Amino acid sequence: MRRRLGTRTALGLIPPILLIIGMLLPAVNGPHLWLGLPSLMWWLAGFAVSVTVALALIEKLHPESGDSE
Amino acid sequence: MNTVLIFVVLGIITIAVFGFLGRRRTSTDLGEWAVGGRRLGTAATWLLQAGETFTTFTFVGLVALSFATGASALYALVYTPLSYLGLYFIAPKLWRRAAGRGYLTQADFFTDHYRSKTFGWLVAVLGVVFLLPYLQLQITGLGQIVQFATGQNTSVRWSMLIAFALVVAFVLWAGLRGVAAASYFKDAIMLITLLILLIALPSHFGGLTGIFQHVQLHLPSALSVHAGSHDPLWFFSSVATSVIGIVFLTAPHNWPAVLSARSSKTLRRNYTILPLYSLCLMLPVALGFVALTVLKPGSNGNAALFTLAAKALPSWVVGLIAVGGIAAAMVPAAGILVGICPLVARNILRVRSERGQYWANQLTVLVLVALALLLALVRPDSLANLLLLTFAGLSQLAPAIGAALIGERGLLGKASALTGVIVGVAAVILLTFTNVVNIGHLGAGLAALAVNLVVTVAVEAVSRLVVVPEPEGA
Repeated sequence: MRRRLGTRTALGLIPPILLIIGMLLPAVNGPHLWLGLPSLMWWLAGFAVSVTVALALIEKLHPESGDSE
Repeated sequence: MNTVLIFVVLGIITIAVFGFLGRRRTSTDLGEWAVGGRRLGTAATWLLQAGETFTTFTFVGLVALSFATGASALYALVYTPLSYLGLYFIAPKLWRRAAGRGYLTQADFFTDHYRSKTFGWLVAVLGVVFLLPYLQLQITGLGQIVQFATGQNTSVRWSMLIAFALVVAFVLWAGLRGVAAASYFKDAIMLITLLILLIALPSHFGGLTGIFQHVQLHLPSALSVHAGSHDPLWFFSSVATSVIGIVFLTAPHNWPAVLSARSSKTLRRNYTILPLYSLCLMLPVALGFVALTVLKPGSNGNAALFTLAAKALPSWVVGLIAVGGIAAAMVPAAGILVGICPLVARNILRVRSERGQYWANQLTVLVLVALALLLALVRPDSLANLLLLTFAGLSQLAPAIGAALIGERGLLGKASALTGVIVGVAAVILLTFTNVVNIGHLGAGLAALAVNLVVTVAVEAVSRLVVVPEPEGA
């Protein structure tokens, strides 16, 4: 149970870490274009996708909560 | 009557028709009106939860922010996914508590958890006071959209009056289900218009790649979050204020979207997918960059979208865009009313009978819209600033809500939670309306939240050391 909670926390922390890394990297948060669009825009789009991926994985690991469906 | 005006009139009527069609059955039950009887499925709750993604701020304010600051406007693409990440963990806990205890409002939660009708009353008053400017923002935004689209001042007042008379009518008739039904139309029309704009405008002005290359050559700093008025401190403090406000559901109008869900699994499923939906926020930001290359510096940012559209597109397309903007004002306004009017009936006036609560609620809808319309006509203000002011005030409820959801009894007692809220709100008012303290680009909400937390922890520590435990039912 504790291990599962640890995995959930770790997965939940991945997107914010990606965000901070991107904002600190001059190659991302700088006057650059990747495939014609701002590099920061690409990075933040990837960040948004990473939130969905992280939550989908967490949902898979989620223990039964006993909710009525 | 010109083509754009015809679209405006038809759009206002269509949105209201969708709202009216939301009603399922005749009822004077406030639970059915405010939270749809807690029986809404995935699609309806999805649209209600996504409602905050597309408002007049998105449609007009975000283009203006991108036009003024460049990449700093991408903060919207950060705070929305981060908020859904937090809500995935918080909202199911809240849903279970609310379903078990029969909460219909945010203030019900405070009254019950902290066993204090006074705390519930205070939270309800704060909710109404801080969301009234947000309701006004939707009305002012609608007026601006009509003005920019038609180019006529004469159409503004009557379009605001007609649109909000219809909002009142469908909200009274269908409640939350009406908001959900109108949201189907709102999100569809907004996505269609934003996509049309993103394809048509750049191709008219030299292509999206060409526009960004132009920005890279002439305004390279606009491609990053850089020094200046919208520096990284502004960026992260704006993100933090918004995330805290949304994750801890400090705004009472966000509660119906959570409480109305059929199950907590419905909520978790929606919050998993919603970050992908927030990618749509890149559309208004990209349009701001188009404005940056085409319009003169110092042009009216709020008018940027329609100025560009009028230069490049036929009038019927401008009319369609205006309908998207109008929907982005009317539907969130309806959602705000469903969120705050039960606060007045249940937690401020404390009407006892269920039937009495329902009718007091209906009367409140009329009074609040009349007040907001009056404010919109007398004191219209900047869109983005009003939104941040609303979040700053409401974010002071975050520690009390967050602490209450940890364990069965929560982390804080009534004294510390209540003191923290009062001190936090006082700090927001002080920082917003005076120059006593210079906080630079740090938002007033975040600075006040720091004061709030220090006071809350101090009072809690003292009360645990000195004061005897609070008696049951105090």
